[in-house]
Amino acid sequence: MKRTLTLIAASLAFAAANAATVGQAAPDFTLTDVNGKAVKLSDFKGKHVVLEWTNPNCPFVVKHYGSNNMQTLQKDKTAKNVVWLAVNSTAKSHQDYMAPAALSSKMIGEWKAAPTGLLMDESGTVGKSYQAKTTPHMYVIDPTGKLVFAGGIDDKRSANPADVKTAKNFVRAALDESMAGKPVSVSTATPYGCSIKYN
Amino acid sequence: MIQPFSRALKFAFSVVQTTAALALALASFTANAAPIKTPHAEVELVSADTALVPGQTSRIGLSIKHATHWHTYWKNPGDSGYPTKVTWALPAGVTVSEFDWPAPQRLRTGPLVNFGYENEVILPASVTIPAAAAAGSEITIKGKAEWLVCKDVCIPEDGEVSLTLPVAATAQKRDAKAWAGVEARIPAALSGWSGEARVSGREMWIALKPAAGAPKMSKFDVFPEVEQITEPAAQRVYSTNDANFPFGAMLRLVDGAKVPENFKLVVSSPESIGASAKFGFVSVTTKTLAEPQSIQGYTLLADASKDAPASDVAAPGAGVAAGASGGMSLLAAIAFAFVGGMILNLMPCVFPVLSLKILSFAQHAGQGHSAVERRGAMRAHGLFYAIGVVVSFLALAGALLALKGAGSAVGWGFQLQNPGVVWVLAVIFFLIGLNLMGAFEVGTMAPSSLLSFTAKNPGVDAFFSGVLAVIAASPCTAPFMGAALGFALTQSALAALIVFAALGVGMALPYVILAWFPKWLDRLPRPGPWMITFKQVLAFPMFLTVVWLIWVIAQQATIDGAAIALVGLVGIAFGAWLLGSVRARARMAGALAAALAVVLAWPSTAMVEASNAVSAASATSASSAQWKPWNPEEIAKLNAEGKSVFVDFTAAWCVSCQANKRFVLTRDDVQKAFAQKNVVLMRADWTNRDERITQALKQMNRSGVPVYALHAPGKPVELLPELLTVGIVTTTIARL
Repeated sequence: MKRTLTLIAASLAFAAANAATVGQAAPDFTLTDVNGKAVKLSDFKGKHVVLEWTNPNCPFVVKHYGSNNMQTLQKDKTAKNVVWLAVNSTAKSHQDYMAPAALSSKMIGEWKAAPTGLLMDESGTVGKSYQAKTTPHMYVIDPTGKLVFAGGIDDKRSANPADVKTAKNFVRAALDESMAGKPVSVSTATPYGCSIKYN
Repeated sequence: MIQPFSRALKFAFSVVQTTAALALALASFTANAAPIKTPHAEVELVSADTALVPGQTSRIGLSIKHATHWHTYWKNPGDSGYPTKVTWALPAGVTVSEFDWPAPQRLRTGPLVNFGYENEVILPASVTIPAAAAAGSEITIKGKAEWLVCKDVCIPEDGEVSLTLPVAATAQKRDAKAWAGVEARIPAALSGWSGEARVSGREMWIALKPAAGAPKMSKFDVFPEVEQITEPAAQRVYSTNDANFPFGAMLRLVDGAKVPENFKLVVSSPESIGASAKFGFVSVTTKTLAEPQSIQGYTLLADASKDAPASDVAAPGAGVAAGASGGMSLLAAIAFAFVGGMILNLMPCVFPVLSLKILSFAQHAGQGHSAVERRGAMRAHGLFYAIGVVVSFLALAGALLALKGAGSAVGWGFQLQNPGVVWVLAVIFFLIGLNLMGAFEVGTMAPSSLLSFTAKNPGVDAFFSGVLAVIAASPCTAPFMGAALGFALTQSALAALIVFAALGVGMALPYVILAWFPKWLDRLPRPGPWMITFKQVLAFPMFLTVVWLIWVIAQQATIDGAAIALVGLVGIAFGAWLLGSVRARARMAGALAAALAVVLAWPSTAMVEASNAVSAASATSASSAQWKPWNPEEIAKLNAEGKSVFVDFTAAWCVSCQANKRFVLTRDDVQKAFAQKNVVLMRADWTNRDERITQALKQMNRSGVPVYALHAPGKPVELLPELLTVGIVTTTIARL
């Protein structure tokens, strides 16, 4: 009997057909934020949406918050009607896990983070559907719901906060271009940071 | 993936060797600056040579000693992480090359996979100094080293590394042998190999051609040196029937991957892949295809999405059969086989033979010779029975090894995948049953020469009852036996034979002990008419065995095949009835009728094919049933969606499989437990030969059924014991 390998290839693990791909519709999801409110991605159609995978116990996340890099970008862009959703996919069983209240007091209280929503994804379902691998791992979705950028926040793959100043921030560039109606010139970038602590 | 024992041993040995070499290396490649010590790593610069020589290249290296279970990254770090780097601050005219990266390990964290190093590693580089450098002076090589060290958490670390070396006209290696060990970890170009990367959409098929005469790989792994082009967690490697490219790897590209026209691919295998190395690199040329690649005649060798590295396998949950994970020692396999053999005696398929034995003991007890004579006869009987059992197991092992050697994918229980064999067993058990019922006496039909032969040689009779016991036992893979036999089949022929012999000894031992100390026989009633009744009662387990065997034939060769077999049995019964006649001619006709019935009712190949077609058809349309047909691609897909899959590897002829199915798997509370956790149930039916299932069993280090495998997303496959209880299944499922 003849079998062809294409059948197998189509279903390689981590390759669910609905996985996020730049240039295609971003997978929809509903998650609960740290205040217990349900947040649905497709409710933000018509606006630019940024997804930021985060874990405050990750040194790379600390790099971008400690240098005020992430907060500045959040404030700049949400002021321009961009929806910013920070997602935490850390599994409950992992030492890095923080309950909603603790997460909120750390990021929003202590760090003055300014996302539109800080979302809990303990099961990792949404993280896996976006194939999010690191914290931070960034995504930009345009007003039509299409994914226009996926990858690392910038081109300086380090944990050194000083590098933020000289780095090219891909998220800022993608938002600037997309909001100006231009195609995004760098639409994928190597994500860097800590592995997401999936369950 | 679970490593077969010999590979695990070799691996452990090579780790010990490497570690020892590195310990030596670190002792002898004295570095000037104190190493940077963090709780996770010890990092320093080391030198291979005693001095730097003007105009020549010397070797230095960044040595990293990781704390247990912590790792740093390769040039291509995989899903996350970043490669270790040094930003050099060098005197004028001094240059340090890029690192020559040692071959990486596959490191798994949940669903993510990284490429890097654990334990101790040296990242070597070349240093050149100006030709004009003065002998007798010193040169300091320093720089800022940055590394990301991770276990399940990641710590970015950095520090100033520095090494001061004298300049001299000549230099020696500080420890030539140890440094050779460091260099040996760097993948070299595999001479004579070629490779093509064929990209279509998000898939990349890498076709590989080893050098002529290179040993055939039964398993291998590939690592693209370029980062951020493939998903390390989704990778399958195959052998193919394509003579030009007999091996291949299917990799999934990351979103937005830019595959270079040429790139280096590190290939590693637990076996030697030529030039005595276990790894090396191939320069791969990339082609873009309009149509997806299609390959015919491939065999899956390894699936990175399922194979956990050795370090991940160490935590089998409660209820996992011992020996299901990790390497097994030969001694452990012998012990398991021995215990498994003893347990075989209690299995329903052996029980009829057990009944026969009891009868024969009773007969011996009744023979009115002197106590001493009787004891001698009993002991001889027990011994010959044991010899029959062991020899049969060795013969089966020999047949299995020969078939395997001839390249056919077979496993334990393979004998029963042939309906002809099942039919012969049915006939044997039926004839025994008729004989016990008294339909005919062996004495009335056998030639007198044979009769006197068995009378003079009662050992022959005992020997063949041992053979019969083994034939009947083969469908019952008792607990422990799966692991032991799976182990045996990955071993040298000698080790395999030893394990099978242990199985035989275990099975025969209880009888030998009984025969040796026949005190218990005193408890039996005195011989008398009760023995005839007892004999007749024993016919019933025989007939029940026949019913089961005919049911197996129905599975293998359709209900028509079973009906024909039943008609055959009636023919045999008729023949046996004639055999019981006093008239010689009638006895002759009876023997002929029985033989004819056996031949005419033989399950035909056409029926087996018809049965396969039926099961294939039902496999495609069984979506409504609770149990879906086994489909490895579907499992990967369901796991990617976060669902767990439970697979029942079973066969109609496997009694323990049927018992587990009837008494555990189909129970309401078990079904409820599955439903609660949304576990998808699949059944892999090995009743007839199926290469894919045989391969899948082999990958789990098993060679027979039953096997119960739980595929949870992001975890290594968990194997449940071969004898299930409701408790085992529900607690395993509850842990999901």
